[in-house]
Amino acid sequence: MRKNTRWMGSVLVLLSVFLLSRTLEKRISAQESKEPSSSKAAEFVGAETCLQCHANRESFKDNIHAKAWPRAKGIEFSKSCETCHGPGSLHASAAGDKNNPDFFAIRNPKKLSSKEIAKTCLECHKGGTRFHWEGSKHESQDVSCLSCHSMHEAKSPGGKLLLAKASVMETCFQCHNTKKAQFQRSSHMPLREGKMSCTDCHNPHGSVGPTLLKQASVNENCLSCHAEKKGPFLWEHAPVRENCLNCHQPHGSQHDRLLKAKRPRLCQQCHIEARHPVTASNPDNLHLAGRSCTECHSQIHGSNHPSGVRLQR
Amino acid sequence: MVRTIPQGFDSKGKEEFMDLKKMKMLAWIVFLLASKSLASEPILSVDFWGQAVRGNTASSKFDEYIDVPHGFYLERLGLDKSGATCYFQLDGFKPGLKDQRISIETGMWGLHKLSLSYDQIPHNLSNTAQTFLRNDGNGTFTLPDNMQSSLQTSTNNAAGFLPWSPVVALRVDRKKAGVSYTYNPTGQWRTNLDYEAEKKEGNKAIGVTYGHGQIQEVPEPVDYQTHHLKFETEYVGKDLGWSAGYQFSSFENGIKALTLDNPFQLADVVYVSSGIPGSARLTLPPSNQTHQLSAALNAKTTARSRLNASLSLNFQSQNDPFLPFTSNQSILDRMSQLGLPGLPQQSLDGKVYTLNGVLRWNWKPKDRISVNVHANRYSVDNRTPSILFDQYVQYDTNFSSSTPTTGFNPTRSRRSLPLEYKKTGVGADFYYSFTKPVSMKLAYDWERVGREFRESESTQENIYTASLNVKPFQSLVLRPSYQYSFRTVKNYNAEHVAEEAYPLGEGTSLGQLEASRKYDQAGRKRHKVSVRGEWDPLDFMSAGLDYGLVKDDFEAEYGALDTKTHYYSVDVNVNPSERWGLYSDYTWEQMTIDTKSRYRETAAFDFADNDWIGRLQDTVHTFNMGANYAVVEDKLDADVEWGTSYAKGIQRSANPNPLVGSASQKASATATDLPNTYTRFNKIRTALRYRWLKNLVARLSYEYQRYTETDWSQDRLDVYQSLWNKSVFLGATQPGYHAHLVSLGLSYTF
Repeated sequence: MRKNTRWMGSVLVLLSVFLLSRTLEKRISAQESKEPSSSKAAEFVGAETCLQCHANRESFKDNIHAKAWPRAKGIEFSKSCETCHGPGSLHASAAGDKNNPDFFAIRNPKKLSSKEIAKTCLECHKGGTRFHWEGSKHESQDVSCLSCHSMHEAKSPGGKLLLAKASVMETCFQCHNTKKAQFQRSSHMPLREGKMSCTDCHNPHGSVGPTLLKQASVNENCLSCHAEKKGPFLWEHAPVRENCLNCHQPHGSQHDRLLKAKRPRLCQQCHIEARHPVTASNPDNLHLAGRSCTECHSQIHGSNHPSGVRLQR
Repeated sequence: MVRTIPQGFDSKGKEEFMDLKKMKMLAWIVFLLASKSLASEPILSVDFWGQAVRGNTASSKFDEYIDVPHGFYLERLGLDKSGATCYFQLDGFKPGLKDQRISIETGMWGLHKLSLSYDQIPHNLSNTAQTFLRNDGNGTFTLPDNMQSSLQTSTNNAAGFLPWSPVVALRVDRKKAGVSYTYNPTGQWRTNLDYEAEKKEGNKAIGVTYGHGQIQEVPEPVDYQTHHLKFETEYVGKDLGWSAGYQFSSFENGIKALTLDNPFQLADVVYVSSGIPGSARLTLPPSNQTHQLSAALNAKTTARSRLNASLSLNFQSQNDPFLPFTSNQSILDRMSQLGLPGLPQQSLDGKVYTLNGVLRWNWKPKDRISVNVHANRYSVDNRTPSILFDQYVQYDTNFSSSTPTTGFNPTRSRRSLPLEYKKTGVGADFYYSFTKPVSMKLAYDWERVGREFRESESTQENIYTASLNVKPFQSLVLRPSYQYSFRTVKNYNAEHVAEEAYPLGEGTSLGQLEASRKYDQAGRKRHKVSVRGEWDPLDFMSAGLDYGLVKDDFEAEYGALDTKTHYYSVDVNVNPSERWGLYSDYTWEQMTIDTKSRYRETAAFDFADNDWIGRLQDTVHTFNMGANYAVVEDKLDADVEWGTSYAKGIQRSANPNPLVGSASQKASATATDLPNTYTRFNKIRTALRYRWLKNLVARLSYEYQRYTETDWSQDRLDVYQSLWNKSVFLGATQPGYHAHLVSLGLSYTF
């Protein structure tokens, strides 16, 4: 009963928010329509006109956009500049004169907000990995498409991702510098060796999972490569089933196997049963030898053995 | 000519044989795909390298994930043929080596895309492992009978020959091949079909126990094969977009069980009150299958709002046959004599359904305002049957001197628990941009996790976040953020699970300490602070600063009490001219965990005076700096970089009160510090690049790497140790190394 009331309450709240938004939107639209708009409207002039001044942009012919657009979006090269920058007749007519206000009647991404830039890019790039961009973590933290991508001066090889830096990792490390440090620790995934990249686990454009993970949960993400730990097992280790991050630090650790802390202390945080789990011990104790607890409880991710309740078989 | 594949641990020959076959197959595919495109003006680029390596590089840490070539090799091979409508691209990285990566992409621009890929990742786990165990195949490891007899006679005999065990490399090689096809019939439609096959082969260390006081390490054979199939289609219009997909994943383990001889016992002892096994057997990861259906919708709800909905249903199954209770025939015979039943069922019939639903509504009434409302449900519904084992056998062994806890006891039972949980979350955030780039965001999130077969019935968490994006000066942007959350717990019962899987009062032992709280379910107050600063004082200079603190206070008397992660990081980039570039960054991070536990021997010996407290603290310093300089523009450039990482770990523990009990009990209850651990990694690299011709570039580079570690649990992990003379280890460590690498490369573009 209580559950149903909660759900009904939530639905009512959402419905009210939705109706309120519609009402507010009408008022905002009405207000905006009263605001004076520019008397002159620019028209499309074609890329040939743009290249007369911006000759260095001739190289855009080799850009992936110029190659794929004609067939994918029906945008020929002649229309390519103004697809993103808007119609350029006024800007062109100013002929480089910065005192002429028309000079600025062109969309300059450097002067746009992150949301305005995204709006431009999403005109074409709404699908694929960007499906969940709106409302995503990066979108709501003012990260702009141009924080990571560069249309004209991409540094990434291959010409596909058009990254502002030489690699995916370097691009991410612009803001996530501590992650760069974590990957330099002794226990790490092979990112610094170039065999993995941040986007193997994360989708920076938005996802339905936590921390922009590509999958719906941390475990689904880890198990997509570590399939042997999927189970289901006869005897499960509860924290493993729920979240790999209970014990592991995926971005790097000084402890074996990306563990968050050294064994046995990692295990002793939870295990306060009788006998050896509660002995503080010293290095001369067999329970601390090598991989410590997991020397005997080796099936720590779960066991399918009828005698494996203590994850030893 | 018949080519034989070497047997045993060293599968190098087999790998090379397989690689050769794959390379030939790949070459044919490349030839067929490229033949048409190659008819006119392809661009072929080749990077040919020679490398010399000196130093102490025996440690597996040196080439943990890569193949470090000695001598000449092909670093990169590229082929690009891009026309106005079609294209063909081949990119090969270290072709033929153990970390090779080859990808081919071809298609029609914006319409068809066909990709083929092959990737290998070696994982060298240790080069120091030693064992007399012989791999007889299919997970069976045996020892010579005379060795077992000798050690059974006297464990002291082990010192004479165990240190001379043959060396075996522990490594797992991952090979992945994939094919992907994408079809974009229109700007709005896209259909994608992916298939990937992955093989993991090799061996890794695993420990096996025959009972308290005896461990044997063995190289666990890895023979995994995984297949992924994925189909997706999507339509993205201006007002409406949707996608639907199906995924299938299958994991197959070629070796189901690990059986190994007990070095100190030749044959199973006939059961009387104890049965020491001559061998042990354990399961290896069972095969499993996963199906997933998913759908997503992105729709315009009003002129300025959009709804994003996503739903996926995942079905996972596992039904590998169970092994018998034990490989110890004397215990099985005894069970038979007593007329006890065998396994209640022959396999698990494991089934888990996972549902994930996310609703997100985004409203931008004005360019400066954005509102997000979201709700999500993640439900793991485990429909695996709970199996009651009336007659549970714990080990392959019994001990006459032990209590029933360590032996076969026909009166004891166990029940398996199909763990599941359901996570529900709702939240909203409000974003307001005062002016570019000054903005703020306020957010509230609520999450409930309901659990089955865990200590707590449910937890609820309220999360409040406030973040700013401010620009106090023209050249400075600051992004401070603060999050406060508190988690409450409903009906925590420390012994709830223990009653099922680890019966309370079993023998002389105790269950979980009632006042303990497991940190993933404990009540918690969390403070999370982060600040990111970006400073561009000059056109040629930029700097960044990060500060972060995550502090968790758990509502727990025992267990993890508090944890704290604290970091700061600075980075500076200077480009005084087009020709010069300098960069540097430093990061300091410290992770601290405070714990409390209690030495508890029996119900009659369970006193607060025997509590012990612990502090785990890892501190890591990481520093990088480098420079690049164009000595002669477009002709000769040079770069140099240095990176270092220094980590220190402390594990302190102490008894806050005077201990109680007998002298031996006090000795067991005494908590002392464990020795500190250290890892240190240094890398210096310098390179010169000279462009001889427009299409010919020469590179000369020198690199020095040094890694050292100090870890009490690894530093003396010898095969035989007099301290634990009934245990046999592999001695598998990753010691320090240092290496000088000099390489000369030529890149030529035809």
